[in-house]
Amino acid sequence: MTIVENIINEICEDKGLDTISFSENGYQDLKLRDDIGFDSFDLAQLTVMIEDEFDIDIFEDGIVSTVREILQKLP
Amino acid sequence: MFSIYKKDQSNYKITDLSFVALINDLEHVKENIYCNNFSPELFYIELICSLINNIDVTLYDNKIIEKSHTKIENSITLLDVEDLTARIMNSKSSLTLFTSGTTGNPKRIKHTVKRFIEMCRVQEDRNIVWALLYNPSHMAGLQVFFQSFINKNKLVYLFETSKMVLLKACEAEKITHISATPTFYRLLAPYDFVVPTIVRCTLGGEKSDSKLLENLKNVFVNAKMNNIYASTEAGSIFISKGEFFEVLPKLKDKVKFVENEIVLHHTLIGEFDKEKWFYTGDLVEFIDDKKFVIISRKSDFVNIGGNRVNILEVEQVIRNLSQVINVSISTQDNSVLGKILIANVVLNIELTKKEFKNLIKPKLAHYKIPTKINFVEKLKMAKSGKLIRT
Repeated sequence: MTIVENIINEICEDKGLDTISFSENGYQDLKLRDDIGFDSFDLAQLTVMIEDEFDIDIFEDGIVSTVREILQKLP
Repeated sequence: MFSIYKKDQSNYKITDLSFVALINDLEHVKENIYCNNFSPELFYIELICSLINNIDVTLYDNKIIEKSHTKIENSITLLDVEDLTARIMNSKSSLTLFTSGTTGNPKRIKHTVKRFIEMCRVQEDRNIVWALLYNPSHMAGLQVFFQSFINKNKLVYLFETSKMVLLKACEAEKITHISATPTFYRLLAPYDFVVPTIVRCTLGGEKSDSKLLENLKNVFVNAKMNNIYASTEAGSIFISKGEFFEVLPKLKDKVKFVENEIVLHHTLIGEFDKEKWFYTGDLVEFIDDKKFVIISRKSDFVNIGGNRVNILEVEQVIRNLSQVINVSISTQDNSVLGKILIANVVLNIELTKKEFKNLIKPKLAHYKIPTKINFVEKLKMAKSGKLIRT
């Protein structure tokens, strides 16, 4: 799922946050807000970029809080 | 009898109104010159004939779609152009128009010819040549028509023509007066031309900005610049020579401001409503006791994650970038923020979305930065000449 990794990191770089790596253990448990540092505007950006790529609104049925929850929603 | 002055080889049409209108046998005209394509001459002939005969008309999409009656009871003999002009000025007809619907569903608005005539300025100068750049069946197009007609000025039909044709027509016909929307003027970029014949340049229908005015001053080097505040509901209300508007003394009792919103007396507007005052939805900001600037429409404000954002302000900041030719901002529902901003941008150089965002970041609060950015070749424009925000 390097696409999701790239999307998250693009937003991180944009905001000056530390990037994440999907090759590290436990990356799936990273919390988008608390661990990565996203605010609601970053989450909106994330939904738009993922929707552009996969045609799925990951927040449609509730707020997604971890990387794992994102990946579970994707095909 | 009728005659039509046509000039097709240059891809634009001159409608010499004082000449065209010397007819009143409408059915004869229709039988003889009707064709499937829109003909400005036919449109104006039908309109003028109807007004002479006090027929109420409904206009939509370049056409007269309804008339109160079609049979002309008594044949009218027109003596000359003066007689014709007088008959139009005294016409009892009403014109029903539709709002462009850029801010909602189109509404029917009825105006009397008298109201249109009141809005005109009487000018003695017969050398004035108008360019018609608005839809002829909309408020602004009809205002240009009446203005040129009652002053017996030539009207050059240029609605929906290209920049090249406009420039050619300006030179060949020595067009002196031009009136269009800011969106139309922005489509003239790059401003690598000069039109010295134009002495009056009017912007209306949308919010203008200082960058555009500066560009236009360099192009229309001899022109006085006018901003006009008008709407289908009310016609022209305020005119400014620069950035600031003032209420005209004669309209003092007919215009008020409620929480900075322009509110107009019903006598200024078409008969679409029985309310005594009409809330325009247009917001102003006062500079002093009298002068004000029009900042936006109420509907131009959106809530983005709890922050009130004026999409016109965002557009203006982006449009002021030297890399940007034009931009439109629209909104989209979003499960996180409620709504997000989408920018459709026309660039004059190649940029990545990241480079583009880096350009706007220092100029806009973070909640005003569009979440989605699309680079497009051109923006959609409504028939009214206004930008469509989709």
